[in-house]
Amino acid sequence: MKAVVETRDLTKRFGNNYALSGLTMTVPRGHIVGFLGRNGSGKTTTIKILLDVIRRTSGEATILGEPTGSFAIRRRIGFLGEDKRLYSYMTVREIIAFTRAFFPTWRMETETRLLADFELPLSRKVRALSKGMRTKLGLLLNLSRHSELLILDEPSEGLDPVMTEQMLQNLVRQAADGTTIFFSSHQVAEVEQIADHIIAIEKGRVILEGSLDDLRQKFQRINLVFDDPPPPEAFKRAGVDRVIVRGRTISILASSNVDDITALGPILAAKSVDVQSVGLKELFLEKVKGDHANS
Amino acid sequence: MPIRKVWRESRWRFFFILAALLVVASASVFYNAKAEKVVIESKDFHEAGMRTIRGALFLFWGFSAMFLGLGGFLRERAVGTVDYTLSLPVSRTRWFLYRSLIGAFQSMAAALIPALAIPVIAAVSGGDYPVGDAFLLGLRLGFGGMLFYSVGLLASTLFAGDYTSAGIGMAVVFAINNSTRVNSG
Repeated sequence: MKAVVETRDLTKRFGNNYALSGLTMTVPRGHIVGFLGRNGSGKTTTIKILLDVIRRTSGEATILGEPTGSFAIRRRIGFLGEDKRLYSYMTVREIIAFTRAFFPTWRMETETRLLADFELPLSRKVRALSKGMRTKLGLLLNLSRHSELLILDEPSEGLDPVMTEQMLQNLVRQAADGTTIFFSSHQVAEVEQIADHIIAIEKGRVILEGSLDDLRQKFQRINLVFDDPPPPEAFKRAGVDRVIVRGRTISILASSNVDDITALGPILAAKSVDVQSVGLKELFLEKVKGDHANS
Repeated sequence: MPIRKVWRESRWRFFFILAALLVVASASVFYNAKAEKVVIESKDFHEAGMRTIRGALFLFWGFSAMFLGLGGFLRERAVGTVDYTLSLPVSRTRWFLYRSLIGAFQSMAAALIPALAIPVIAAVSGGDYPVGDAFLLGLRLGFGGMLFYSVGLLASTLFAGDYTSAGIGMAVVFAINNSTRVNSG
């Protein structure tokens, strides 16, 4: 698996607070990678370190095989920030011409198509655009570059559902054209809709990483119903991520060894044993809860 | 393209300063009819320098040059465009270089144009002011006053807010102006 982004033990400290605490992750080439996390979990900090907008406290980070400080790689990447701020004094036409001049890989056909799709007013100043329009303009400026890697920080923030859908479809189309998409979000549904690889973080650490298919296969929910439930410690074994007791039901989140764990049911006199697949939202919430329980 | 961006972001500040300095230069001719006072007669550099840094035009120009040094990444961070700028394939050093050079040219233009306007304004008001002296005055304001431009540039690099940078820059310019004042008696 070739990586376009790699971090190892990345930390970032703001005063006494750690925004990142040893973040180690890999963004594989050619995928749509959802960077999932709650507000304040460290997603934007990670992205800003990758773009060299802020400096890391310690650790290592590479992007397209180069250290993050290398400005030469900026010709090979696109970036759309959370607030989509662009130069307010330029018109739409001017900022497109301005940005186009920096990128030899700029595709005029993409620009023309997106101008028509997004119905952007060329002669309007950027300051007069709504947030939705600014997002469309930001997408046009980044998608037309045809870069190897496109990084988006909360791209759907503040967008209506129609605009969000339009944006997601454009990202899928860009990925089909060979661009790796790395986008952060706290909306599990939109990540699940287009991403094929997930990196979830909490408190500046990775809590979940892998392809969406693998994660869905790997994690299972095992529900066991008892007349007299045994203590949770009875299920302490390899593959058990989390045990929750709800009345007479014991619910286990398992990441492996499902058959062995399921076999405990009859041994411990369970009335019923039920194995379910786990959705990304549930998995993410369980991992966040698990992280809080451990800390 | 980076030069175009830097020019677009600073041009209104430059035009405003230029207009303000032209008003100051005109006022000094029309209302005082003493524009000759700022002519540098001495060939001695130190004395010429000390005499140059007196007078309303110079003080105004000092502040103006300082304002021309404002802007940059910290201001962009405050208005939220820094992420986009830093995602473009231009190094921070090159951005700073372009901003410094354009600001320096603007400072020089803001010194020369009002100075060269003095002979014209003097002629309109029935007086006479040598063009050569005006040019010399402009050059001395421009080169000598690069210090004030540098103050603005430094302040904008150290402090994020426009008001903070401007306030600290103005205090420094005022202090420099006071500390270099010489007793004419």
